[in-house]
Amino acid sequence: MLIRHLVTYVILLFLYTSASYANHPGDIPFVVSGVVSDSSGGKDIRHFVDYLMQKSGINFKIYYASNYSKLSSIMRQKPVSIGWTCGAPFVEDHKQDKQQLISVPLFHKKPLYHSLIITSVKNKEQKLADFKGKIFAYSDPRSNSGYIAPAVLLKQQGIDIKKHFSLMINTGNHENSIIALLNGLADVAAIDEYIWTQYTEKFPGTLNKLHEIERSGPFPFTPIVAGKNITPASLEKIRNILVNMKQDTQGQKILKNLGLDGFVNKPVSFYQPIQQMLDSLNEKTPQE
Amino acid sequence: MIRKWLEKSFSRQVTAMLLLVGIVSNSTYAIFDFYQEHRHYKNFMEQQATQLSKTLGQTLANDMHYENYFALWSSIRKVYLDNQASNKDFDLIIINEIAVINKEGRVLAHTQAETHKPGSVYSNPLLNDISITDRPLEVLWMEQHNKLFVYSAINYNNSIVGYMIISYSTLPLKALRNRALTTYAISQIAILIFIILIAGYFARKISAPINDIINALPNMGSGNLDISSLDHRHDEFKTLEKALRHADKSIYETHNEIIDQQQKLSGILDNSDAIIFMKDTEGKYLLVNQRYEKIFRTDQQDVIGRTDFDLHPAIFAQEFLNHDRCAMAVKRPIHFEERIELDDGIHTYITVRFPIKDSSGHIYAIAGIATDITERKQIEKELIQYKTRLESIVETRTQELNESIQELEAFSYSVSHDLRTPLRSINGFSLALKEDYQDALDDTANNYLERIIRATDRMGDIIDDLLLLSRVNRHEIQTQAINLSLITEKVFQQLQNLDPDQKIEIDIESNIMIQGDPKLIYLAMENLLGNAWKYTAKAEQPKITFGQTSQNGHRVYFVKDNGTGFDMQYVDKLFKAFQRLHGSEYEGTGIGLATVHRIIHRHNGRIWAESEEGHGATFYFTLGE
Repeated sequence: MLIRHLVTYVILLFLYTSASYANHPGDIPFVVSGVVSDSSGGKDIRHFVDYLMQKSGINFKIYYASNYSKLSSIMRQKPVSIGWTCGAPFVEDHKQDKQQLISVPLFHKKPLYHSLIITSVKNKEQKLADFKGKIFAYSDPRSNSGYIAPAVLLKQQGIDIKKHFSLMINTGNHENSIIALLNGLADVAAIDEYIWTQYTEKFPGTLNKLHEIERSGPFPFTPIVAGKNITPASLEKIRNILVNMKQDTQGQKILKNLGLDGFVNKPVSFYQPIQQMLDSLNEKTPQE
Repeated sequence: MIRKWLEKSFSRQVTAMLLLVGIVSNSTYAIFDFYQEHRHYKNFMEQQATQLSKTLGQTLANDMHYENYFALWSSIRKVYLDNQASNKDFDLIIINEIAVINKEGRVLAHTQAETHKPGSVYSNPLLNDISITDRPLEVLWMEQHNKLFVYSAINYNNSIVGYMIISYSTLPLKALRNRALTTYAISQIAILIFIILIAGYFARKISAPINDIINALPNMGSGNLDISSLDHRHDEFKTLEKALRHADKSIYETHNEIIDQQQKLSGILDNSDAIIFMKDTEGKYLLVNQRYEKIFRTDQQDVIGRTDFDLHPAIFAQEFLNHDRCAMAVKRPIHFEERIELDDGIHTYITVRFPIKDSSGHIYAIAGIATDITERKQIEKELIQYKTRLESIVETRTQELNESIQELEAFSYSVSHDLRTPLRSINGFSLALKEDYQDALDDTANNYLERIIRATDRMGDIIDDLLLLSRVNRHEIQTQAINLSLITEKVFQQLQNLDPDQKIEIDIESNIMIQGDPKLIYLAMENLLGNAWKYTAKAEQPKITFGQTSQNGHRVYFVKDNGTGFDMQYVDKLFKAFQRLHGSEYEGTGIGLATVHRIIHRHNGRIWAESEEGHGATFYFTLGE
């Protein structure tokens, strides 16, 4: 019986990691990553994508990318893809692959969110800098809220994130980071405010075990983007659907499930702060 | 206490034996079965555990290589949680922990992440003594800690990237074992109850007939033993019943025979003139015959169980006791002359006392047969008196006789000596007459004179021999060591010198040593050899032999010749004085052998002769017998 469970698990893991590479001619890839909560088991995303397909008449095929590099890679290989990425990868991919910004979700009615420093309520540390020599969990090395923001936060205190912790664990997404904290795998983690909110609403008991000790931001929210080859008509169509999504009941319901208030159109320059954060990280400190 | 309880009843012993056999056999089977089952479950558990390690290890290899801590942790945690959630299916496999460590022994992932943080050095007190090796798989049973560890080295691209340790709880195995033990205990109790019932039943089946036999046994030997309750049986008890009946009959018959024998023995004992008794080793009477009762005017019932000290004066009782002890000490019959005071005075008994032994040789009684020898003792006493008196008479008579002999010898010597003077005168004057007046006398007168001369010569010889014999009797013997061979040789040489014409072969055994008086022995040898010389004179090849031989342990010396010999019917006369077995053709006075006889006799010896007429003679003699 144990073996059977294990084999099933291995198969699922294989499907999860390899699905993103599958090629289905005719379908437009809709690539999602750790920017959205997976606590619903992917159901909310599916409903969201189905809504877009229904409204746009475009067939989307959902691809789950285990990290932003894979997301970028898929969108690079299929430049007509639509994706929900993080602000930092977008800034980079926009520059490198001419990735296009479609729309920005509204969280708490603003296209902004924070990066939260979460730890166990048992820990006495008051801020991220206090966790020197401890284990830090992050969702992705390209994640704005998971890695860039805390790295900048520390750098502002003259601390190199890569040397500050005894171990940094790449969990793949923010929910995994929360799980790592809950199970003592990590001592501290930087969590996307949106994901933290979604997760704690679904599992309120989490707040008895973990708490926020520090936050940075606000930062531009994780955007809906498109590859460079998507037609302007299609891009515009999708953008309109998203912006108007809060106008219809179905859209409202989906937005509610997603924990969002709607979408708003923003220029690429909206993500300039993130570019600055990336730039600041690339700057060498006197100690370096 | 249990032993005493068991010893009181055969049925209890049978029950206990069956119970013991049942417990031992059932326990043996139960232990064997339990061991097999336990081993089976253990093997199953080990098989499952190793299979899981192999499969999981392959799954984790990639993440271990890239140190994907969270992925590793997720994988093992999922396996761990699945296992925890699937206890029904995994009732033997309960994972306690899964640890994934790198080659440096640092934790890559651990199901108990809080206590085993990634990057920390992995430690487990139970595994401190276990050296980590590159063996692909190792199973470590630690049942004392309720643990099973499966340790495996994880390979990625043919090189070891780390290790995985899965700890399992062996409590399910223990629970199974306890469950099995409980089952066995219950079954054991059930079987024991069953055995007790069966054993009890069979014990009763066995003990009932035994009790019948026990009840009947007091009548054993009566000749009508009744164990009719066993008649209907056809098993060993039937055989036993037959055997007992047969034994009963035999005992009955033997008993009657013994009584018959006892009566006969009593008849012998009671009609014996001797006193017969038997006592135990402490001196208490066990049996006395009627003679005892009569002699001591008592009754057997008053004697049995009492000692001699109760029945007789202490001086006698102590003597009897000493004699009894003596017979028991030497363990064989001993005769004692004992005295006892009876109404008519002291009586003397000759008593044979002998120990009575059982089949193992152990003395358990002392018996005695006492015969009254009072009269015989009186006769013996009188005989001794007679003998003393007779000896006194003989001594007196002997003394008188010796005195007579001495007087006779003195007379004989005196006569012989005194006769020699006139005889010498007769002989001398006869010779003078013949020499001076031979021619004046006629032939008849001369013949008369010659005959007077010869007669007086002969008479002189006789007188000399008689004087010699007389001297032999009176000679005081002085014993010393003598070489008899040399004496013989000397005598022979002397004879040869006197008669040089006579050629006689002599054979003398050399160095025959004796103890004797030299003068007398020389005289005896002179007579014996002279005799032989004389009677071999006419032999064709005369030969004299001197030697020694042995008869009945005594040394016997002999002088043998091949001369005339003599007729053995006259042998009794041979050593008597003046007794001659031959005529005038051989010279002699008839005193020589009498003298030899006297000399040998005075040396406490014997002399005798053997001969056949015409074939020589042999004279044998001994000395100092």
